[in-house]
Amino acid sequence: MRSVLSVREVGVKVRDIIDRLFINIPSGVGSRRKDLKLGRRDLEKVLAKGAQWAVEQGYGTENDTRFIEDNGRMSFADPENVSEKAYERGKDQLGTLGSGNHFVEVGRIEEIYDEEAAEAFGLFRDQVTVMVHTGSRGLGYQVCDDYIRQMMKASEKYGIALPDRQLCCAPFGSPEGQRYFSAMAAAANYAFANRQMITHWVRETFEQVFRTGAGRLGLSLVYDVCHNIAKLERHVVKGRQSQLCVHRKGATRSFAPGNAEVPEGYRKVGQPVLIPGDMGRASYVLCGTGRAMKETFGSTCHGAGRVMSRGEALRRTKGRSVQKELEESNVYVRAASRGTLGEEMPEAYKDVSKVVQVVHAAGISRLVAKIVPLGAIKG
Amino acid sequence: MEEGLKISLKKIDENRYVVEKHGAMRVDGVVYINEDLLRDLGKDESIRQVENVACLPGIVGASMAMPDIHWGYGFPIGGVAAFGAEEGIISPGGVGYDIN
Repeated sequence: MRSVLSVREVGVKVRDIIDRLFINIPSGVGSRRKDLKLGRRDLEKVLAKGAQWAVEQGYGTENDTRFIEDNGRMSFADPENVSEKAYERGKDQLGTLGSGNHFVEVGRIEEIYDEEAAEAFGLFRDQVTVMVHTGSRGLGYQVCDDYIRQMMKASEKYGIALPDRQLCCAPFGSPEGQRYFSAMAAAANYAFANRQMITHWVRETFEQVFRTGAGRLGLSLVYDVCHNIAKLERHVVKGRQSQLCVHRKGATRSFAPGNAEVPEGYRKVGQPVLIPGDMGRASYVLCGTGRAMKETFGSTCHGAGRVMSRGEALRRTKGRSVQKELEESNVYVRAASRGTLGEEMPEAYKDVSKVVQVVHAAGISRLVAKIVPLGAIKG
Repeated sequence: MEEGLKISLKKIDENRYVVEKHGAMRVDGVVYINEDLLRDLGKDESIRQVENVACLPGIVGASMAMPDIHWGYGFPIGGVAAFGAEEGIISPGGVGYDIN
């Protein structure tokens, strides 16, 4: 999200914003909302309609959905193919951040690399931005778990030779393949709705701190993009248009200028690509390219990528205060657990700057802006 | 990185490496990475996972990975793989647990 605020206007209020975000958006392992418990019927609607359900409930505006991949709704989702256990896990986790690498980060644009694209995305130097990273929570996890078990059987049924059982799969057009695809899309819709609600609470938080309407603060969605998804897309393969099932796992879409899937206002420059880094260093905004369409089915990287396991990071941060260390570098962090902060310490990740340099140099997305963190809430 | 794995990775240019099709692989593996980040991969088995994905039915183009590649369930995290809608497969491991 962008704002019309510059870092000077926000100043010391960053602490207040982070403290209030921490109150307004439940976070942590198994975090849930006491104020919002959804019935089975409501949840079915969430799974069918995604962010559009959230907008109908008063979270954000119709305009937001124009800036979400697939307009925040995957149309082939089938809530009936989601298990009872997944529903159970999902009923009180909608509108929560969760734990692990999920966060809401308030940042400042430190550098602009591409003026034209930055202008199209509404970004400027020293601007205050908010980045939200979360997904489909326990519901999505359960969908994956359920279908891995089914796919183990399906792989045998269809005689698919697997070099590793974890690659279990089914023909895309088979009943098993289609059931997973529709359940995955339902979970994706849950994630879209989840972030849309958080977008709304980010706006409310800023309203509380600045005592003025979110509209006047210009808090609008730059873009919302998936990072763990399979999509049915048309791409050119060996000179022929083909219908493909593109799997992006910890990777994001990076569609080129002119593509009809890119929001109209951005179509001249390409789809915005958001690359979160670790808590201490930086995040980046890039844009999609024609080369990505040719080489990577319109895909690029998603983030920094871990270099250290969670366990190792925990051992290395024993007796240290990651929160204090970050504060010394002027990043104010609130976290639901000390453990998460240890696991998520900056050194546990690759340097995101090196990662984006590669995709930029390889031409599968183009650098637009660099964002440095001011503060964050973590699970 | 393990020596055996290192040998199978061939440099295309500064930012791209290829694992040429061999054994049961149906297509090449292409990793968008540079020397510096390759060192960070250490003993990570994720390049092997790029090879494994290349063996799956209906894969088109190449089994790809981005510079943030690391080990994931079945498919590497930072992986991109496209399968023909008619002759290809879909796999939950290719999407991962945190759907969307």
